[in-house]
Amino acid sequence: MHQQVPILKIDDFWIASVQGSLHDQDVIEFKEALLNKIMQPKSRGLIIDLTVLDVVDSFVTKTLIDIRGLAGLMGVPVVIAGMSPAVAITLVEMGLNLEGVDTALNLQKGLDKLRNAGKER
Amino acid sequence: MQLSGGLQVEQEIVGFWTDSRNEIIGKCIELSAKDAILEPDESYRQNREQVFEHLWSALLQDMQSDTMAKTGEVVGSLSREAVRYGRNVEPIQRIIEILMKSAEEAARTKYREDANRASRIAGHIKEYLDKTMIILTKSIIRAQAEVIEKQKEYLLELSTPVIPLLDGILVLPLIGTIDTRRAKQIMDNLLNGIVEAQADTVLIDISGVPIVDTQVAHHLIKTVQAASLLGARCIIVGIRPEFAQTIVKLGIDFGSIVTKNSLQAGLKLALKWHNYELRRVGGGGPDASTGADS
Repeated sequence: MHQQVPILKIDDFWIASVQGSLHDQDVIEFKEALLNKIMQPKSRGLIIDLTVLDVVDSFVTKTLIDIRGLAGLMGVPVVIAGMSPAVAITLVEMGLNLEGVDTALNLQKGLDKLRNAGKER
Repeated sequence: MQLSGGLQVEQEIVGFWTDSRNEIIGKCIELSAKDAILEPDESYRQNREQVFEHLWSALLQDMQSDTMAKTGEVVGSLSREAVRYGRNVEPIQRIIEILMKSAEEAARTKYREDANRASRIAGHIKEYLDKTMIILTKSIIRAQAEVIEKQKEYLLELSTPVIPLLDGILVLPLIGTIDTRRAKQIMDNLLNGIVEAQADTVLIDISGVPIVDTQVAHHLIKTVQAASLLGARCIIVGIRPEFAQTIVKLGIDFGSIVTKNSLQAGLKLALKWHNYELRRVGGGGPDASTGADS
């Protein structure tokens, strides 16, 4: 019953695609794994893809905000891509609006966003 | 004793109803031709006889089975039709009245010698008249409720279009009062529209919303937040002075939400975000040959 989230690398960007709902323990492990990956030099950005995710709880949301904060401290921008309408409505109804977290409609737009952010620097 | 007596009366009315069919229907036609309500009404002129016969046979079945199921069906379909096409329902009431009146007259003629029997049957007819009228009232109310429910649905569909304007730019014109139910619908439509069109900019035009209170503002903010979670930026346009005043007076924090006074201004900003440039090619006004003003 172990849920592994694949974390892939394209150019200098890390892409984590969440498949199905995560238990709290999985979420903690996912966060650790992500932070370890982006600690590597030449990490220019991180995309968390939620396309297939249709249920989100407050713990996952909190973790996403945490990841954003921690990665920000390491100087790595984070984009959350492909969130579904159902998840967005749930988050807004719960009063959690992922403040300060960058979002994109899909993986492609997320990558574009990170590339542009890199150029501005 | 009473039961058999009751049964006998039932038999009596069924017998009368069957035997006097032609008299009753004939009388109905005669009466309805002179009737002040039924005669000028277009809807039952062609098939009046048919309607009477329908109702007559429905009542016969119900008299035999001692329910009102068949009559309910016939009256129900008549009133549903009338309500759906916005016709007056008075003619239906009139048809029932005329049928019962004809039946009563037929009974009085038929049993001229037996006054007791005539009044017994008349009493029975009266009973059926009352029952049918109650059914009519009920079915009209039900039909109206159905129509109202339908209209509500249509209104919801009509009132929340999401229009793709340019590649990646959507327009959501809001018209009319926004309540919780509509707000939910708007949010659903918009979010699905964003995902479908993969749009990253949405112009929300609120110039058609007459009243803006805390509730409406709250819904707007929630919609914008949800859209931004998907990765789309919203511009709220069409902010009128009253709206701005209400927002400031109520102390609602619009925070980081981008607002513009008009759709044009919003569109200009959206075009800028998308690196579009809007400029005129060639001379001054609209050119007739391009069909721009036809």
